[in-house]
Amino acid sequence: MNDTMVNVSVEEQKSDGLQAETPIRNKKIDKTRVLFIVATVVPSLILFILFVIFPVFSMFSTSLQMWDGIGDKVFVGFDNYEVLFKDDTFWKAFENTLFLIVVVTIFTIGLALFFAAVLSKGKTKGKTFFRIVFYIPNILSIVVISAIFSAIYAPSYGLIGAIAKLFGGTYTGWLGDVNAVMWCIAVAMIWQAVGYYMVMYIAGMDSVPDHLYEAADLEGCGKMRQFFIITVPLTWEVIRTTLTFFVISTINMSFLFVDAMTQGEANSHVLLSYMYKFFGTQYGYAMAIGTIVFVFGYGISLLIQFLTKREIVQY
Amino acid sequence: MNVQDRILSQDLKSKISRYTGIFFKYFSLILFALLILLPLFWVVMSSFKTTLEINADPFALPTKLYFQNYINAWERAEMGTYFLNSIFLTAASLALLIVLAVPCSYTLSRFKFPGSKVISLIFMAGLFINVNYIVLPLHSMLYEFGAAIGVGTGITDNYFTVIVLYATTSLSFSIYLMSSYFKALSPSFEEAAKIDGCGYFKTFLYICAPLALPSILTVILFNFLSFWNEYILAQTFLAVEKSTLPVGLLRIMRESRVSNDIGRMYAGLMIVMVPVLLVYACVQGQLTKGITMGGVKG
Repeated sequence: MNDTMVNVSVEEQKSDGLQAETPIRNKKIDKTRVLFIVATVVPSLILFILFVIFPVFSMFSTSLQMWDGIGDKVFVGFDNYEVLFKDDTFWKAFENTLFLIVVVTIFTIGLALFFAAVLSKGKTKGKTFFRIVFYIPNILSIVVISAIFSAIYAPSYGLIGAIAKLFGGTYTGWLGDVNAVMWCIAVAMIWQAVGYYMVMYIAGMDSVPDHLYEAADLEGCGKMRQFFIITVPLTWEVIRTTLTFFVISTINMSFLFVDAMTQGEANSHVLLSYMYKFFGTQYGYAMAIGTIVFVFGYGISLLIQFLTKREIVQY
Repeated sequence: MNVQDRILSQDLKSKISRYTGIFFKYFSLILFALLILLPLFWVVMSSFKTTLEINADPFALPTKLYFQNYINAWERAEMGTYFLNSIFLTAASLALLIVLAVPCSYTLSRFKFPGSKVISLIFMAGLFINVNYIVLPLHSMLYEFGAAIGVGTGITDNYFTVIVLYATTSLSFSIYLMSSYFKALSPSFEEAAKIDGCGYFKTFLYICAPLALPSILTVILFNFLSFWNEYILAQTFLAVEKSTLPVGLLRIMRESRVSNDIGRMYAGLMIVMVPVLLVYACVQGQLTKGITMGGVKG
C-alpha cells in the first residue's frame, strides 16, 4: 500500500516541480543555479565515468590484445577468444556458472517466496523473529560465510565428518570431491541469499489487499491455490525484477564463494574466478573471459525480462 | 452414512488438513531458523575451544573458555591491525560517498537541465555493473597510470585509491535509493526557502538534506555493510599488511589448513562477524525497510 502511495505522490510532484521551474527557464540563465548543478553533479559524474563506465570499455578493447600486465600491448584480434573456445577449463567454468545460476535461483526464489508468503499475511507467531533471523546471512561477509561452510565441510574437524563418524561412515571432504563441490557451494549461496529475497517479496505481498484473500476464503479456496492465483500474479513485477538481477548477482557471488572456498580446486572454477586467475599474467585472456561474462550475463537478463513479460495485474 | 456424519467427517478432514498445514509451516520456519543460527552458535562455541578439543569432538561444548585463540588471532595473525584498517577504510569511504552522492542525488531528482535525463540514465546503468566484474580493468588502468608517472604500485596499493573506488562504485545504488526520497519532498520547502532569501546551496544544506536524513541513514547502513564485508577489491589492490579484515580472515583460513591452528580461525571469524551482528541488532528494522525503499541491489 505504502509503495503505491509514494509512487503517486512522486508523479504529482514531478508535474508540480516542472511548473514551478518554468518561470526561471524563461528568464536569462541563472548563474548560481548553473554553478550549483555543476558543483553537485560533475564530481560524481567524472569519477563514475572514469572508474565504472570506462573500465567496461577498456575490458572489451583489452580482450583483443596480448598483454602480460607489464610489457607492451600487442593487438591480436580475436586470438584470445579462439584459444578460449578450445580451453576445457573455461567450458567447465561456464558449465559450473550455469549450474549455479539454475540451482541457486530455483531454490532461493522458491524458499524466499514460501517464507515470504508465510511471514507476510495471516497469523504466524514470531513473525518479526523469523524475519530478523532469516536476514542475518545477508549482512555477513562472503568470506565469513565461506569460512563457516568450509569448516562445516572440512574433512577432519567439520560437522559433516563428525556426523558421518557417528554413523560409522568415512568422510574425505566434499569440497575436494568433483561430484559434490558445486552442490556445496550452491548450498552456501542459497543460505546467504534467501533472507534478502524474502524481505523483497514480503514488501510486495504486503501491498496485496486483504479483501482478495477474504473473498477467496469465502469461496473455499485453499491457501496453496490462493498463493498461485492471487499472490504470485499480483507480485509478479517484483518477482520479475529479482529474477533479472539474480543472474548478474549469482555470477558475481559465485566468484566470491569460489575464490574464498576452493580457489577453483576440484574443477570448481566459475567464469569470474577463472578470469581472476589470470590476474597479473595474461590480461588479454582474462579480459576475453570478462567480456564473455558480460555479454552472457546481460544477455540472459534481457532474455528473462522478455520471457517473463506479462500484463500487469491491477488490483 | 447419513448426512450429519458426512458433514462431520468432512469437517474433520478439513481440520486435519489445516493442522498439518500449520504444522508444516512452523516446522519449516523453525528448521530454517535453526539452519541459520546453529552454524553461528557453533562458531561462537568453537572459538573458545582449543584446537585439540575441536579436532576431538566438533559438537562438544568447550570445557573452559580458551581466550588464547583470540589473542593469537588479534596479535599473531594481525587481526588487530586489519581491524583498524577496516575501520579507517570504511569510515573514510562512507564520508566520501555521502559528500558525493547526497548532493548529486538531490540535484538529479529535483532539477531539470539539459542532459539531466542522460546523466540519470548513466548512473542507472551502473546498477547493473558490479565492481567485481571490472576489478581487473580498474587495476590495470590504475597500475599503468602509476607506472607512467613513475610511482610503480604507488597508485594501486594506496588507501586513497581504494576509498575513491569504494565510494564511486556505490554511487549508483546510493543515488538511486535517495532519489525516490528527494523526489517525494514537497516543492513548497524550496519555495519558502527562496522567499526567505536562501540560495541553492543553503536550501540544499539546511533544508532538503536534513529532510532526507532517513534515506541518508539507510545509505550509510547499506554501504557500511558492503564496505566492511568487501574483499575482492581490497585483496587485488592493497598489499597484505595494509589490507582489511575479510582479507585477513581469508589469510588465516588458508594458513590454518597448513598450520592446523583451527581455534585461531574461529576467533578470527568472530572478530569479523561480531561488529556487523551488533550493528544489525541495533538497526535491523531500518535495514529491512531500506530494501523495500531502494528496490534491488545488484
